[in-house]
Amino acid sequence: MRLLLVEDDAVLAEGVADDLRRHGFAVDMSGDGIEAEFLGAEGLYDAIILDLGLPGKPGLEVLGAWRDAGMLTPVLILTARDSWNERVIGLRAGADDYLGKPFHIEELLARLQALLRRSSGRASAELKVAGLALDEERQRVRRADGVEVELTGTEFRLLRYLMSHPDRVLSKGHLTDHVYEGDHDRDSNVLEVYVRRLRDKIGRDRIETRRGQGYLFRSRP
Amino acid sequence: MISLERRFVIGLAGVLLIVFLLLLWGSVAAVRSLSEAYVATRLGHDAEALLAALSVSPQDGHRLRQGRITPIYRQPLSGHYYLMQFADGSRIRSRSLWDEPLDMPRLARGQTVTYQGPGPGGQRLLYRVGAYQKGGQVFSLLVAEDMAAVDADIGRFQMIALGVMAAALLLIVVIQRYVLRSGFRALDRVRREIRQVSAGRLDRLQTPGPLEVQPLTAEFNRLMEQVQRRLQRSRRSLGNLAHALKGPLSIVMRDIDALPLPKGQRNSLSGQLDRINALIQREMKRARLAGDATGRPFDPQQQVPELLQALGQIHREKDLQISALRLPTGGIPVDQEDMLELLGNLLDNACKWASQRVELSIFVETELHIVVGDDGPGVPEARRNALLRRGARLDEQVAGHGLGLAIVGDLVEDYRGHISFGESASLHGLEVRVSLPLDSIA
Repeated sequence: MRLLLVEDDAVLAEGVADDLRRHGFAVDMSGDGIEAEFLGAEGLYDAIILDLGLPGKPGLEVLGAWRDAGMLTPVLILTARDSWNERVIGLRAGADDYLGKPFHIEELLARLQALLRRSSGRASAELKVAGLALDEERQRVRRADGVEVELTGTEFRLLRYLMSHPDRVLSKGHLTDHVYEGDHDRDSNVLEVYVRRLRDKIGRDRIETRRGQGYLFRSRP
Repeated sequence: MISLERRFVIGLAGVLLIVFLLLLWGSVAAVRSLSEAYVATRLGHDAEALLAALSVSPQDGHRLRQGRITPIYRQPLSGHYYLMQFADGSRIRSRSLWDEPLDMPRLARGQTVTYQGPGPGGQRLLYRVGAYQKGGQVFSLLVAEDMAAVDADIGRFQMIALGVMAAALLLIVVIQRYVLRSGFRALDRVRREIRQVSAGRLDRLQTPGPLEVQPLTAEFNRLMEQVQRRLQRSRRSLGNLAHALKGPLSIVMRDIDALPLPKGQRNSLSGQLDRINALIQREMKRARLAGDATGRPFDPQQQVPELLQALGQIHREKDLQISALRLPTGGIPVDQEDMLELLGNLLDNACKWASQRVELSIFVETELHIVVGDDGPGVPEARRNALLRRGARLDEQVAGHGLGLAIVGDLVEDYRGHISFGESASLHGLEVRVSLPLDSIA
């Protein structure tokens, strides 16, 4: 899952980005409203964390521009302005959730995961597809035979994205966009290596290769 | 207490009384001297007629030809008299004098005097006495006329003038009172507006008032502006401070969460940080409260559905049914943002506790009533009093819980309202009842 963190306080942004990366998210950062609007509009992100008091362009206007352009990416507003009046205005402008500063990182993670779950149409808290259960907390996967397998950061991100979008053909470029951060070296061969490693861990037939199109994660074994 | 009105009335009436009395005295004196001069002139003419009628010869002595004298001098006590006194002691008296004695002053030749004095029958007479010489005879001639008719005329004039002046005085005082009262009514308007300003329905006096009061109303408006500016500045700086503290606080909170600390130590640090945060939150919200109706009015029909939708979104994980049972129509004169803060905190608290349902009722019955109930576990009666205490947290598991109610408590206090807790009759969880007096606002 690739996130855009829009926050103008560089120290806080770095800290939160570290936490999010530790929890298996690819995180791009922006501290400016105009840049954030441009980045978000690319449609590469699975969720956006948006501060409201931004230089360049106010967060609410950025959000409004995204929604006007028909962008559906879930947006969580993370702001020090947390009067109920401001919450109502933020949510009406198209935010999916609202969290006031200061906050505990667990709260942010819980809300973020809930947002991502909802956007992929999942009801339960646990990501479970075709006998595979992903432990998002510990970044492990439990196979149908009950064996728990450790995952590296990239493997976890890739598997989570695949499991969140089962039975859909996902191109290598698309997967790269959602698994890696913006400044990462985009060599599709690297992705192939990770797919091969995942297949070794969860079973060869789970990830199907569609030649010239990409990969497909099968929900039925 | 000084009554300006009484002062004005007494002052004006006193001055007018003095002026009127002087005027009366002056006019009576003038009329009297005029009429005396007139009578004196007539007496002079009569004296000349008498002189003409007097014939003096050495053989016959002196004789007055009665035919040439006005008959009024022949009627007894008619009020018109004459008397001639000759050097040899003989006298000629008018018949009208009857037997009444009259004194004749001694005069040098050619001298004439006019004076008033008593006469026959208690009459008050104007005397004109002259010393003459005719045909070798030296004599004094006294002519007198009763002033009673003139005095009566002057008396009548005096009465009429007195009456007119009294009426004028009364009229002037009444008119002045009316003018003053209507002037003071303008002050009344100003007073009513000041009350509206203090109730928050106006931010400055609208009618400038009479010219004399304008410096006062202008001063008042300047003072109000100053107070408002200061209040806004301190509110803004408090709000800014709290707002600015949130950034560093967020960083410290994250760092503590990320540090590899023993769990007890982390919880203690984290707990202290939560307390600091709660204090900041509360002060910031407090600084932002309007506490009156100076902002935009609250329109429940429009704003409550939006708020419920926002709450539904925030608590989407719980799939709650948040419903507004009663909402008044039209605008309510309370600050919109304050009401959203009040309702938001009350409902958010209810949503945290509720298992499925939250109910809201707003209605106006002399006061503005807000009732929020949930189907959560409720709060035992003994612990309900602790709900509003600063930073009180009933459940450490629910983040920020209790702070919301403390903010509600501040808000209710600011509006001089009342808050109470009970058990919801329909949902069996906690019910919070808030009432805000509308007369202190509207």
